[in-house]
Amino acid sequence: MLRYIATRVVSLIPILFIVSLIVFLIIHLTPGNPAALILGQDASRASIHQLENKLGLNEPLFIQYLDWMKKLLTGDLGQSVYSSESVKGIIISHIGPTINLTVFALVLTLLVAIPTAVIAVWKRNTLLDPIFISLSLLGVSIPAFWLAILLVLIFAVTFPIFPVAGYVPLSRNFFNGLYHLFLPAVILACVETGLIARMLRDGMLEAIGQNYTKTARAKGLSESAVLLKHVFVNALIPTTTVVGTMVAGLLGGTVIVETIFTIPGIGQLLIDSIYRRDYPVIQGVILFIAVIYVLVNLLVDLIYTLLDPRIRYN
Amino acid sequence: MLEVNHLKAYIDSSNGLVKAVDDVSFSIKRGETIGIVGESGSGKSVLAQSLMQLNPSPPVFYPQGEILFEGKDLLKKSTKELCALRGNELAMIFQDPLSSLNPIFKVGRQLIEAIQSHKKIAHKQAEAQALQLLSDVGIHQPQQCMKSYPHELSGGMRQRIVIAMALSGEPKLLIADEPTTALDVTIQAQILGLLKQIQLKYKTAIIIITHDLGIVAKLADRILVMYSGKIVEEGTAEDIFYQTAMPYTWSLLRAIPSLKLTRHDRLMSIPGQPPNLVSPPAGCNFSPRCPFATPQCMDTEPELTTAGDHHKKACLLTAQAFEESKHRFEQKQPEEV
Repeated sequence: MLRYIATRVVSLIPILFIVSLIVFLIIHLTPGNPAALILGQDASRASIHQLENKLGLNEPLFIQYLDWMKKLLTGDLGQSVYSSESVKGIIISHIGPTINLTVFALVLTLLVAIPTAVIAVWKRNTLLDPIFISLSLLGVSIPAFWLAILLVLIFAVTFPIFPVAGYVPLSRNFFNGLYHLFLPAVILACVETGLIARMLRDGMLEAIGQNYTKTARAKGLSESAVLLKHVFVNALIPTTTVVGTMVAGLLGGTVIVETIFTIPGIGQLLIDSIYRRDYPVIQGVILFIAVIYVLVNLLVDLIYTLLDPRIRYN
Repeated sequence: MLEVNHLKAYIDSSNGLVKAVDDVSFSIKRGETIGIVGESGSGKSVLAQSLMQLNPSPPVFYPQGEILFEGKDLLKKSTKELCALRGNELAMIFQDPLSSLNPIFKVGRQLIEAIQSHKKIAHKQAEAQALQLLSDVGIHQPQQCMKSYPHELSGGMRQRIVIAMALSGEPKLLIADEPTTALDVTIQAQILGLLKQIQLKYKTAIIIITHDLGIVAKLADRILVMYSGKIVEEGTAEDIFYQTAMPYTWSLLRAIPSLKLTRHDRLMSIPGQPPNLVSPPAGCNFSPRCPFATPQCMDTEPELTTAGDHHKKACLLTAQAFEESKHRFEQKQPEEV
C-alpha cells in the first residue's frame, strides 16, 4: 500500500510539469502587460520598460520559464508582481476560507443527499421517486450565480436573516464565521446534492437488482437491514468518485460564489490576479488547483480500496 | 408441508402483462425432493421466488392462488412474518454463486449475519456455529474461509457457502434455483451430493429448479415439467423418462446430446422459441412448436389430467395417438437423428 502511494506521488511529477508548462504558456501568450497595469495609465514608456526589466518580462519566454521552474523546484513559487508578497504566502492566506466553505458545503450536501437517496430508494415504487428525480435534476440544473442572487435577495435583503456578504474567520469567531458561510455553503450544496443524491440512488437501485441482495433477503433480513447494510455500502463505491470530484472542485475555489459573497478564498484570488495580470500568482494558483485535483483523486483511489476489497493496488 | 394451489404470478411489464406463472398447483412433503424443469423463460425462477415471496413487487403480482406453508398462506403474510420465515423455515440457493455473495463483506460476516438474523445469540456462539456449518458443507479450512472475501474463493466454494447460509436456520424447505448451472461438471456432482446428504441429515424438503433433466433424474422423487408458465407434465423420474406422455417433455429429452453421437450427427433441438408470455398462443401453448399438434390443439387448452398413478400430463393427444405420432415421426426422418 505504501509503495502504491509512493508510486502515485512520484507519477505526479510529469503531470505537474505538463500543467506548469501549459499554464505558463497560456498566461504569457495572452495579451496584456503587467508592467503597464501596475504603473497605471499615466506611466511613461521608459518607466514601463524599466519595470519590465526588473520583473524579467523582457527575457525570452524560455528563459522566463526556466527561471520560474528553477525556483519552483526549491519550493519557491515566486513573488507577486502586484504586492511583492510571496505567492506561497498569498495562497496559504487564501486557503482557509476556501477549506471552510468546502467542508461546510460538503457536510450540508452529505447530510441532505444520503437520507434523501435512501428514502427515495426505500419508497421507490411510490410517487416519491419521480419527485426525487425532478428535484435532483432541478438542483443540478440551477446555475449557482442565479441561486446565489435569489437567496441573497430573499434571505439577506427582503428578510435580513443572513448577511449579504462577507467573511469572518472561524478562528476568530466560530459561530459568526459559520453564520456568514451559511448562504454560500447552501448554494454550493444545492448544486452538488442533486448530483450526489442521484448517483447514490442509482447506485442503490443497481445494487438492489443484484443477486447478493436477493441472498440477503432470502436470509430473512429486514428491508432496512438489506438496504442500509448490503445495498447502501455497495452504492457508496460509485458515489465516492462524484464526491471526490466535488471536493476537488470546491477546494480549487468557487469563483462565482466566492466573488458574490466576497469570501477571500482561492477562487477570488484567482480572479483578482487575472485582472491584475499577476503572472506568478496566477501560475501558482493554477498549479495549486492541479495539485489539489491530483491529490483528491489519489485519496478517492485509496478510499476505493477500503470500500471494495476486490480492488487492491500493487 | 407446502401446497401451491392455482398460483398465478404475473409481471406488469411495459410490454404488457407477462403470465410468468399461470395456474400452477403442486405440493411437497417433508423430506421429499421435487424437480421443476423447464427452458429459460418458462417461469420456473419466478415460481421459485414466489415460494419465498422474493419477487420484486411491483412489477410481480399474484392475481390468484395460494401458497400454503404448514397450512398458512404465504401470500397473506406481512413482510415481517415473511422475514421471520425466510432463512429460517424456508431457505433458498440461487443460480449464480459468483454473484450471490456480497462482494464487499467477508464470508464470515455474511454467514454470521444469517445465523444472527433468526437467533438471538452472541457473536462468539454464532461464529462457532458458522465454522460448524462450513465444515458441514465440506469446506476444509473453515477458519480461513471465514476471513476470505467472496472473490478470493472458487465458484464451488462460494456455492457451498451459500448452501451453508441457507442451512443456518435448519430450514424445512430448501429451494435451489439452478444450483449448479454456473459450476463445472465435477463440482456439480459434489454440490448435488451435498444437497442429498443435507436432506438425509435434516429431513429437509428440496425443490430443485433446473433446465437440466439429468440433475433431476438422479435427485428428484417427483418431476414437474414447466412450459410457458404452466405445468405440462408431472410424475416420477420413471414416468417422465420412460413413460413420457407429453410432446414437450419428449422433445426436451430428445434434445439432450448423447455421448454416442459422432461429430457428423446433428444435434436435436426444439424448433421455434418459447412463446411470448404476454400474448401466449391460443389453445395449447406448445402447439406452435409441437410436431404432433392437431387442429384441435390450436384452439383448445389442455388441462392437467391423469396419465398414470402419480403421473399427470397436459396434452390433448391420447396415449395411443402420442405413441403413433412418435413412431411416424421417427420413421419419417431417421437420417436426421
